[in-house]
Amino acid sequence: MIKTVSLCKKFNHTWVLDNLNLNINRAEFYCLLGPNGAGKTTTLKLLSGLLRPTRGKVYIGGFDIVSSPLEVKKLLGFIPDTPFLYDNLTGQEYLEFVGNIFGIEEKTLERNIDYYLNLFGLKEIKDSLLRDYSHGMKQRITYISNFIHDPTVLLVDEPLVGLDPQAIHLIKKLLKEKVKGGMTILMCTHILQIAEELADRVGILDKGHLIAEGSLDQLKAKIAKGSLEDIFLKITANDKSREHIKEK
Amino acid sequence: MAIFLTLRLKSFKNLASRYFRNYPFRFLSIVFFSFTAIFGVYLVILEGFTFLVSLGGFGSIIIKRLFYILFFIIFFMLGISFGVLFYTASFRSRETEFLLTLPIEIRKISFFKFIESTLLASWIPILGLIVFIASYAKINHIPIFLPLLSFVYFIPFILISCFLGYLVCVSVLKFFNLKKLFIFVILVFIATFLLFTKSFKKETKDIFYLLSEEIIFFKISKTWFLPFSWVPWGIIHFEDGNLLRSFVFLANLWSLSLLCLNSLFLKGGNIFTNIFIRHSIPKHKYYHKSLLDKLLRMKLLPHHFRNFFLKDIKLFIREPILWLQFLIFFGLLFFYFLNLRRFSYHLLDDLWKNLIVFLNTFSVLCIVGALAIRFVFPQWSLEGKSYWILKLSPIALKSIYLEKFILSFLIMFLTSLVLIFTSNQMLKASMPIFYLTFYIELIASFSLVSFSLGLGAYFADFKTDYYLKAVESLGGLVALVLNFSYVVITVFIFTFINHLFIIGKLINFKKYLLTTIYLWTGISFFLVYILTYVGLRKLKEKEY
Repeated sequence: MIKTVSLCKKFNHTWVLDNLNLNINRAEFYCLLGPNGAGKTTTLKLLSGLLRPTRGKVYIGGFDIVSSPLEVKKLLGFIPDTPFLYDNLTGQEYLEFVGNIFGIEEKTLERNIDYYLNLFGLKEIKDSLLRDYSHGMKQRITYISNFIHDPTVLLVDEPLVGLDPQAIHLIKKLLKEKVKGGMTILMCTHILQIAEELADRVGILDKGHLIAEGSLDQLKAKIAKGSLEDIFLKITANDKSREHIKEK
Repeated sequence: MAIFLTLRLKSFKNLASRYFRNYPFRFLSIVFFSFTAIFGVYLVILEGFTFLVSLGGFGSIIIKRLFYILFFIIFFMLGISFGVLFYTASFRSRETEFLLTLPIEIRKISFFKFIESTLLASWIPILGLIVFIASYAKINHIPIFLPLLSFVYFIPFILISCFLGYLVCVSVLKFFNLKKLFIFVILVFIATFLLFTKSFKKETKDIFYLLSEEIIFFKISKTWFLPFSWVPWGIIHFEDGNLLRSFVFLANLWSLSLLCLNSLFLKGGNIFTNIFIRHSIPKHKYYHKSLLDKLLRMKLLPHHFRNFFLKDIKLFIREPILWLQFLIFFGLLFFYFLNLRRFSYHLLDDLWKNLIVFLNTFSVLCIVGALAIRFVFPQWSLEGKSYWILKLSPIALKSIYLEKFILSFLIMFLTSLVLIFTSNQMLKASMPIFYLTFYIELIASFSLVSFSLGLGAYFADFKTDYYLKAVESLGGLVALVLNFSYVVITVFIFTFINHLFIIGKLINFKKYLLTTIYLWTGISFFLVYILTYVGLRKLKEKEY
C-alpha cells in the first residue's frame, strides 16, 4: 500500500533522507522510530506530498505521488504533530469543510461528524471557534477530520501530543480497529511503548538512513533481547550517550 | 530593546543571505527590478508634475495642494496600517507569549512591538515619500539634498502617525467587542457624512473655487496646528528660504513625537498587559448556522466552489482586521464621490470634464489596485500554517486558485462598477465615455486581481503568524509597484488619446481608440497569463 524506492531528500546542502526503501502492506500498522532529526517527519511529509522528493519515488495505493497527486490524496489521511487549523471556523464548520473537500454525501457527513464529536467529547463546544480550543481539543478535531472520510492510508506524526489519558486510550482503540478494518497506518513517534503496543512492524531511522526494520520479535532476535527501548538505545545511541548509559 | 532589534536585523540578514546563496540570480533580479520599478515610478510622477507645470498657474496650485493632501492621507493610512500591524504583532503573535515569560520589563516589550510595527508599516510609505520629494525637488529646481533633509521631517511625522494608530488600536481593544466596534464605525461614517453634507453649500463651475482653500478637504490638510501639515509646511518654508519658520515646524514635529514615545514608554506596559490578558482568554462564543450557510448551500454553484467560498467569506467576516480596513477604504471613497456633485464638475467644459472622468477612473483603479494588494495579494499567505489542509486535499490547486480568483474578482469588479457608474452619472458623462470607462474598469480589475493573486502565490509565506507581513514584504512591494504602474499607464494612454481628440489634434479618433483598446487588452491578458502561470507553478512547487 505504501512503497518508497530509493527516496532521498536534500535541504539546501544536507541530505536529511538517504535512499529510503519502505514497503508497507495493506492493513498493516507500521511505526517509524528514530532520534530527533532522524528524518521521520520529513518521511511523512514526503509520503503525503507536502514535500517533493529530491530523488526516488513514492507510491501510495499504486499511484505515484508526483505524477498522480490527486489520486493519492483521495486515499490519504494525515495527522500532524501540531494541529494548525482555521482558527476562525468553528469545530463543526471545519469538519464540514474537510468532509466536503472529500466529497462525502451530506447526510453521511452529518452522521459521521455527529458520531465522532460525541465519541471524542466535543459535541458541546462544536459551535465555538477553533481559536478557543486547547491543543488537545484541536488534536482531537484533527483525528475526527480524518476519520470522517475514512482514508485507506493514515499518516500520523506524534499521535498523542497534548492528549489526556482518556483520549489516548480512545485513539489507540480506534487505530487498532481501523487497521482491522483494512486501513494502513504509518506512525512516527518517540513513545516506544505505543509502538510496542500497536505496531505490526517497526522501522528505525537514524540520520536519514533506515538502520533496522522488522516485527518486534525479529528485532529482538537480530539486535538485542529486552524491550524496544533497549533495541532502540543500542542502535541509535552515539559513543557519549552509550558511555553514559553504561555508567548508569 | 536593542537586543530585540538586533535579533530582527540578524534574522533579516540571515534570510537575505540564505536566499542570495541559494538563488543568486533570482535575488539580484528582484533587487534590480525593484530599483528599476522605483525609478520608473519616479519618472511617472515627474512626468505628471511636468504636465501640471505646463498648465501654468493651475498646475502650480495643484502641485502645492497635492503636497499637503499627500501627507494628510499618508498620516491616516499609516496610522491604520500601524494599528493593524501592532494588533497582530502584539496580541495575535505567539512570540508575545514567549517574550512575556522572559525576565524583561513589559513596557520594554510593548515599546519594542511599537518600534517593530512602525518599521514594518512605514518602510513602503517612506520609499514613496522619498520618490515624491525627489520628483518635487527636481521640478521646482530645489537642491537634490532636499530628499535627504526631508528624512529629518519624516521620522517624527511617522512616529506621531503611528502613535495615533496605537491609541486607536488599544482603545478599540480595551473598550469594544466586535458588535460594538461595527456599530461605532457605522456611527462615525454617518456623523462624518452629515458633517460633510453641511459643509458643502456652494455649487460652482469656477475652477479657482475648486482649487481654493474654501474646500474643506484642502482646508483641513493645510491646518497649521495639526501634525499632518507640519512636514509640507516645513519643507515649503525651507524651499522659500524661511529657515526659521521651517525650523519651528521641525521642532514641533520632534517635540510631539518624543512626547508620544515618552508616554508610551512610561504607560505602555500596563496597557499592554491588560489588553493581552483580556485578549488571550478563550471566549467560547457559539456560532450557529447562519443565513450565509443557507444561501451557499443552495446548489447554484459547483460543490467545491461553495465549500471554499463559505470558508473564505467566514474567515473574512470573523477577522475584524480585514473587514475594518475594507470599510475604511470604501468609506473614504464614498466621501470622495459624494463630493463630485457638490463641486459641480458636470458644469465644466468638456476638456476639464473629460480630465475629471479619467481622474476618477484613475482613483477607482488606484483603490482597486490598493485593495488587491491589501486583500487579494495575501490570500495565500492568509492560509498560513493551515495551508497543509489545502495541500493535502484531493482538489487540484488550480481549482482552489480559480475559486480565490472568482471571489476576489467579483467583489472588486462589482464595487468598482458601482463607483464608476456613480462617477459617470454625477459628471453626466457621454455614452461612449460611459462604455469606455466601464470596459477599462472590467479589464483593469481583472488584471489587477490576477497580478495580485499570481504574485501573492509566488511570494506566499506559510510560516508567518500574521498575514500583513506578506503585504509589507518585498513581494508586497513588487505587487504594489506593478499594480500602480499598470494603473498609471492605463489611465495615461486613454486620457491622452481622449485629450488629443477633444483639443482637435486627432483626426481618426475611432481607429486610434480601437487599436489602443485591442493592444491594451492583449497586453493585459498576456501579463495576466504570465503572472497566473508563474504564481500557480510556484505554488505547486512550494513545500510545507
